Amino acid sequence: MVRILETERITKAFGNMFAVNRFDLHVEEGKLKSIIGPNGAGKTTLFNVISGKIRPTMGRVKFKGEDITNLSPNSISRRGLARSFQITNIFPNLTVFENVRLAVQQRDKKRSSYFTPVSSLSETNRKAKEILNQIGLIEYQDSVARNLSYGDQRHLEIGITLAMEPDLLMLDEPTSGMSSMETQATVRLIDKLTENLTILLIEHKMDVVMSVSDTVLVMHYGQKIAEGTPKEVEKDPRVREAYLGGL
Amino acid sequence: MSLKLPRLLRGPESGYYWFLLFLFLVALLPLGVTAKIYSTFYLRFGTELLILGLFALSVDIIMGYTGLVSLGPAAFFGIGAYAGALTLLKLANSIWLALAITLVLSWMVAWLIGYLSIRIKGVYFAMLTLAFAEMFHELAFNWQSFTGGSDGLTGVPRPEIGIPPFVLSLGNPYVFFYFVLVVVILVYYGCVRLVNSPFGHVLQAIRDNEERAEFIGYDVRIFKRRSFVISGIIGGLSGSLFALLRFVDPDAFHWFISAEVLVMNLFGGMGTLYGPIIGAIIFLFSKDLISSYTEHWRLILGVIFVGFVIYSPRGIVGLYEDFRDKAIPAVLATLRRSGIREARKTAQSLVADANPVVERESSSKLKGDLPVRETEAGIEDKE
Repeated sequence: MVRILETERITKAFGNMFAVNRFDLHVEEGKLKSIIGPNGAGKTTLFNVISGKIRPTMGRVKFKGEDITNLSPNSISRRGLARSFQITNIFPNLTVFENVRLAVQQRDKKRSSYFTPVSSLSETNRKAKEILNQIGLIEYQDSVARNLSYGDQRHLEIGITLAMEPDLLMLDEPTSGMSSMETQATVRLIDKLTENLTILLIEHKMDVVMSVSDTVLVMHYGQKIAEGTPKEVEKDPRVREAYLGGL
Repeated sequence: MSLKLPRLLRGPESGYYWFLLFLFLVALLPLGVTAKIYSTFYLRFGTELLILGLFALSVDIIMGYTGLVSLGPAAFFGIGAYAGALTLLKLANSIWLALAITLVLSWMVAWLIGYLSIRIKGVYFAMLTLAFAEMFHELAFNWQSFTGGSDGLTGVPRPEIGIPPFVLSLGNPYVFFYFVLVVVILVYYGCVRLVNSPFGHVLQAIRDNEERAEFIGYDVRIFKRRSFVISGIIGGLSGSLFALLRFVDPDAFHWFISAEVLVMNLFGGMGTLYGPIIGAIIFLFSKDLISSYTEHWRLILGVIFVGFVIYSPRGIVGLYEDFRDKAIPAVLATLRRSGIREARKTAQSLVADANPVVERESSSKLKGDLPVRETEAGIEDKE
């Protein structure tokens, strides 16, 4: 199986606190892997290191066989790695359509042309519409993004990442703060995406994790304590103690 | 019977083209002088408005569209003024050479200042740009032999344009007025194209959410620097034209110039291209008007400015748009439905509801709008 993402002994220390500690992670092409773990386990820090938001203290990140460890977020993104954020990260004052188009436009040949009107990039505009259809926000395309409901804003962010046509999609708690209705809609969306995408997912809601994942990885104090199919992980005694024990 | 407007004059982007139309109408201004309605003084005043409008427009690219507050636009205004005047004095009496040298020099200076300061954010960036402008101010003051020191440059010749035998002198106020108008129209139209281009949209994305722009694959720093350079070049151009209209002294680099151009932007409404030009016109008009009554014109303009920032942060353009899109339709609808008395009540309540920004923000919180983005805590996974 082709490993699209591999990390080698990733370590991130803040002072003498090891948020991520010699972490080895691999994601296989076409699969959905979830990372779960209690608050403060270092999941988001791991995401931040992989996507270039912060630099690791030690260790390497390999994406599609290439070392991307110290690259800037924009060059990592252009290599085909897209991420969403735990706290909704969209363009709040632009329209819904514009949010998605900006991501599509990045792949357009005329992406930084100075005098071509954007309205004339027909292929880009068509793809943006397609994405909006896919995430079910086409009817709000002309609304300013900040006026969307919270759940729709989260979906829009997923739409932005999809528009990047990534080889790996990293979603950081896509259902956080959502009502159960919204959560179900998100799960359906993710399920649809798994058909042709590789996804790395951080999630807190166990029912979500168990229903969508191929593999689950459990993180605790910056380290991996278990990895396996949802069923295997559920039964693992260490996991029950560290994470599920309280439930 | 309905009159159909051309496509460009309808729809959400029509404002740009309406203003372009207005700029064409400005070409009629000299007629008033010919007809002796007003003196040539107003022709020169009109030219100055256009030039400072151009300067304000340059700031809109970097501040209004890219979201970077630079406190040093005067650096480019001054560079342009000196580059233009010095070329004419010492190299050749050619407007084209003067403008070419201005463009190249302001491009280089903008690139350098941009390269050094754009890596730094927020207030530090603002202070650094201010510091650069102040350095140029000092330089212009102290390099007596080259810049003329505090006296500035005098006796700058007025070049001629055209091909013999059709030669016109830019010293003629009519000729210079039309020359400036053509430059302003061309630059303004170029900017309209620019902000509607893929590049311009990335700038607006950066203004809105820099991090997201970075994470969809745009090298934010490069885009900001390009925007800074474009803004600097236009600023330099306006300085050069100003030197031809009036005079050149170190005050062209004064921080007061930077402050005034920011005020023009806020007055007019930034992020619209035409707003800042309108802001420049209104600012200079009020300055001219008020200062003929009292020398304390800054006090009065200051109060008006405070009012604008609090009650209409989107400037005059924003005020107008609110009227056009909300107030007038609401009053008209009531008028049609329930007559003049009700319509007057609607109008009154609209005036009463014209909330200051401060209130508007808190009421949006009450509605449950979540703050869209905050920086993530690096360490903890917040639930």
